[in-house]
Amino acid sequence: MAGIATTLFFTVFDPDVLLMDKTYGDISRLGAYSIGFFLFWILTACSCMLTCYFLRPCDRVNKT
Amino acid sequence: MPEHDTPNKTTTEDTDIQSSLYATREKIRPRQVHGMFAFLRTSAVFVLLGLYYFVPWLSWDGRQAVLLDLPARKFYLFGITLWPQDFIYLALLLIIAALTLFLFTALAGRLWCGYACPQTVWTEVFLWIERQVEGDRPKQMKLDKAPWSTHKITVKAIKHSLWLLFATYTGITFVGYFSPIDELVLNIINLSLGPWETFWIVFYSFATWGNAGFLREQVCIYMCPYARFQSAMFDENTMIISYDDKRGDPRGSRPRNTQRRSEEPKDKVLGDCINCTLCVQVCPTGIDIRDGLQYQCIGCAACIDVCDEVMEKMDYDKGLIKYTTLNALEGKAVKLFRPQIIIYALIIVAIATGLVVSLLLRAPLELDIIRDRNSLFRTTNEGLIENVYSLKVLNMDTTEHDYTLTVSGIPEMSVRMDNNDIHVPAGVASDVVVRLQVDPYDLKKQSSTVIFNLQAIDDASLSVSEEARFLGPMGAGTR
Repeated sequence: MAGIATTLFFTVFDPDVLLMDKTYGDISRLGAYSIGFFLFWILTACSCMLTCYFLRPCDRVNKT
Repeated sequence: MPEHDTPNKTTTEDTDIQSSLYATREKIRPRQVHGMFAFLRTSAVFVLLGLYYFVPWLSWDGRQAVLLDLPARKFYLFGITLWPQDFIYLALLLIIAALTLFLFTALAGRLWCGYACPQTVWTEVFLWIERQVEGDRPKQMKLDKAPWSTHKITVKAIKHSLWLLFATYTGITFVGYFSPIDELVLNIINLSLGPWETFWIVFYSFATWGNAGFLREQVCIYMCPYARFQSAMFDENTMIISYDDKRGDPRGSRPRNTQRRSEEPKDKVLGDCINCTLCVQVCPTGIDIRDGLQYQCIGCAACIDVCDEVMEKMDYDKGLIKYTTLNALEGKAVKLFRPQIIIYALIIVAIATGLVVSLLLRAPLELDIIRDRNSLFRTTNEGLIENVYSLKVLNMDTTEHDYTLTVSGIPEMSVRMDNNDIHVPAGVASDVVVRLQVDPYDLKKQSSTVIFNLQAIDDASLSVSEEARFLGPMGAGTR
């Protein structure tokens, strides 16, 4: 999923144009793609973990 | 075997997994199989991995034939060069791939998982290396139980070195699809590899080593989404791997000399399953196929191969475990052409035709117009309204071209460019700044449409038109 999201995002937005006015040092396109991929990965992993968490039946969480 | 006497085992395990989010894993050491399906899978390994390791080394027109050149934002696929603007082709290709997966799943179950999935294919290679170093299942189990000794350390070290070597080569090949592979290999030899290439080689190698060496079936059981939704594509006519319990049960071991069922004592009539548990031992996901269809089954058919071998030894008919359909098991007629099969096939054919036709008809020229972002318009010293546009002329052809630009939409409009001749080399995107000047009396509205037309001088069929907006002062045209 992160792979697809990265592909879609960077097809529309050229990282060189996105980072044109910023001062993040010289991040090459390859670097920007890689960072983008892992950010998307973290995002999808977070959403999956949240799904997992909310799937737990309530009584197990409410047990005191 | 006690684990087969508890049919509820899987269900209890599933609940445990849900409550703790973690299941202790028992290492699975699949026994080696020989047979028709094992041969097919090995062939698939050779063909697919052969392609994977060989394709980056192909060259076409003096450059790498398949190169997804991310830094330059260009994909080379043999004679075709794809730009970000051509993303639709990639999307269509992915849709075709997904639909093909659905079609084959509906027809014959998890063919993809059993024969073609990278996880299966690389695991197969890692298992082979493991068997060459450590021996088959019984030897591996013995070695793992043995205390640490020089021998054990040596064997394990050799195994991991071979695994890592293979994984590293896999990683280098992977990066070779994105960065020219001959330069890449040279850079590795010269130790002058870029940081991101280094990172991806290490990352991909590590992922291969981890996935194929350690995680193995856990990827299929816990991580793969396809495993969870593929059952939605199954129906009663889908080919699945199934144990024939009518024929096999009641199971039980029997002495070798009473091979033929007719020779068995009449009072103890057993089914054909001799309960040798070989089908469990060869299973890469460690399930018992005799419990019925399970989501862990990746359809590798190893159990079919090994059971057929046993049946042959026992002089029974083959096919106690076989590819069959639910309908066939229940003695009903099997229908091959079901609505969903026909619909999948039709959509695939339609999209594939569209893809090929549009690729063939694709004009190798593209024009993008970006309005100057700093000011909407400005008034020149002569009192004319001026709009500035930045044009991106993309020559996707294999030869260079000269183009002429004409702009229409507003009468008496003058087009100012630094250089009236637009020359773009092959496979290059050129920026052209265009200033349009209009007498305010000719402006009918505050915002008017202008049409840019780009025409190749040497090829009459090569032209492209693009619309843009021309903005004037508030209340333009109302005077």
